[in-house]
Amino acid sequence: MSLVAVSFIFLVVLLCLLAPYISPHDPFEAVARRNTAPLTGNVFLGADVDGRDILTRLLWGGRISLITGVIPTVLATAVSLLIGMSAGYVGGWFDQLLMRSLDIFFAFPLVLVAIVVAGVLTPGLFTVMIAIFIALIPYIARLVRTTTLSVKTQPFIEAARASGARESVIIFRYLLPNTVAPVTVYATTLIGMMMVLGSALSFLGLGVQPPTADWGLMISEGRTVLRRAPHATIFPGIMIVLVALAFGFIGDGLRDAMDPRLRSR
Amino acid sequence: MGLYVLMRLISVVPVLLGVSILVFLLMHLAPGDVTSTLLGPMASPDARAAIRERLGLDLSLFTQYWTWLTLVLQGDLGVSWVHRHEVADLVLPKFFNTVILASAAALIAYLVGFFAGFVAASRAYSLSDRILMGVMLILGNTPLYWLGLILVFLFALTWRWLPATGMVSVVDGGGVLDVLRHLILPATASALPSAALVARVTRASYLEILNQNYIRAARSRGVPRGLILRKHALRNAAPAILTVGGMELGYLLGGVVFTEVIFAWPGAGNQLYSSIVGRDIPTVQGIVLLIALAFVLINLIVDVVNAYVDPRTRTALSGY
Repeated sequence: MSLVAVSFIFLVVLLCLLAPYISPHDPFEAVARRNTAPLTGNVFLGADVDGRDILTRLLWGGRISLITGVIPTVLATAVSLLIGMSAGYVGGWFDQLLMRSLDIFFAFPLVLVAIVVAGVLTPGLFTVMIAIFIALIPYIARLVRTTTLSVKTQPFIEAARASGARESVIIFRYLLPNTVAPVTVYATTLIGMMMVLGSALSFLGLGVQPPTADWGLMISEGRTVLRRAPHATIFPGIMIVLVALAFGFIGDGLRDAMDPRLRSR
Repeated sequence: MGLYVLMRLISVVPVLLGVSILVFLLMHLAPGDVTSTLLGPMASPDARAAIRERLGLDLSLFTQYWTWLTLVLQGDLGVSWVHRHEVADLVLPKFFNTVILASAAALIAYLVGFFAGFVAASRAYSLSDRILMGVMLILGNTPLYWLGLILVFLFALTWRWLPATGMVSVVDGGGVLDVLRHLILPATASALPSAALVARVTRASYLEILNQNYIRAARSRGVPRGLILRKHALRNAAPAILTVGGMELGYLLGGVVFTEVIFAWPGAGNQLYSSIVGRDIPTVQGIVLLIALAFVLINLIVDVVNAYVDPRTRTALSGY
């Protein structure tokens, strides 16, 4: 299943990258009558409220959705590795200080943090990414710290230290690889969820602004003509669900590959 | 047990203090001049200075925080910049509506999720298990706001069974039944993604426990299968289900912003959204503070219930 998912994501990425060359129409120009139904005339998936081709806008919008899912998650993972590993490795009051500060963020639902951060800043793609980045750090950092703590006490670290390995070698050669694995699994699962969250912010008008093609924004525009043109709402939603599902499957596959003991029976 | 509850209560204090600092800083993190938000870009310097003095913006950050905190602790959340109302008066009734929506959603999420997970686990690896969990997997990855719109399209616009927006009907509205009718769609939309997770966890923890020796022993003693599922296994599956249930309650509290906006439910999430758009910072602060308070309280209750159900967790004070 995860192989299917990887191929699917690969296909989506490829199609979105090639959007300027393969999309049948211009994403911003009206090419059909407003709210044209699918499979009529020159618009395969129909036209939206402004007569723009939905298939074209799906291809262009995928770029934004993939970016909002991947980039903040990767950056948050990098920062969290730094925070979580130093907290877990150094320990003591430093650990307490960092983790208690992160505790404060756990007092807010993740979605709320993202909404408020995005709402306070000026709307745009960059804002969406900042909002997701900030909201994610506590969650990933906590996982990194827990993993670091459990790896740190294992015999092979002790053995390395006993054989005179330098601090930097222990951290980068022994600790880091063993911490990265579970975190990568977690981050992969998060990508799909964050893509959903990013589209949700744009749906609320706090993220990407019109006339940009974005799946969340397309749903928000489709909402105004839900009765007459449900396809304008349905198609972008299906894309979001499929891509989010695929990232979930990839996460499951990675987990099974990295730790066969956890393989779902 | 009493000691555990006490320690857990004490651990909440620094968190709430941190929450108050973050919420206070919201006012200062917002880009742009506060006076421009309040008076418009054409305001005279004198008017700006007057409003800065009235809001105490010229004082030191610490003094401002202290004044704000003292007022908040007395229940004074300030005055809305848009509505010229006390924020507390504006927000509390809406928060109550949110609690109604979130509780209904939580109830649906747990019932549907637990039932689906239970059924799937008792018929593990069968076709019905696969279909059920497949549906749950899709629901779990569905954007809440999109699910809401699809429900509106089907049940309100196409079949006209249920109202699409609001909490009470315009004509002759306000009765309990009327509110319930308005509640069905938003509560279901909020609940289904959470139900999916509850179902997955319920199934997984059931399957793990059904593999254990004491279950095999009970089975070999001739204990009926139904009794094993309902009694022997449930006891040990409960903590995991409860924990994820508590987490989902928090998720529901964040997610209701979307459902409230889509279904025009007059709750705190909807108000938060319009206050953010209107740059009404005191109201945003008030709502965020209330939601955080509720969230911390929920986590506290989940931990205490968990400690009661599963004594092993009592030592893990901080939750790690």
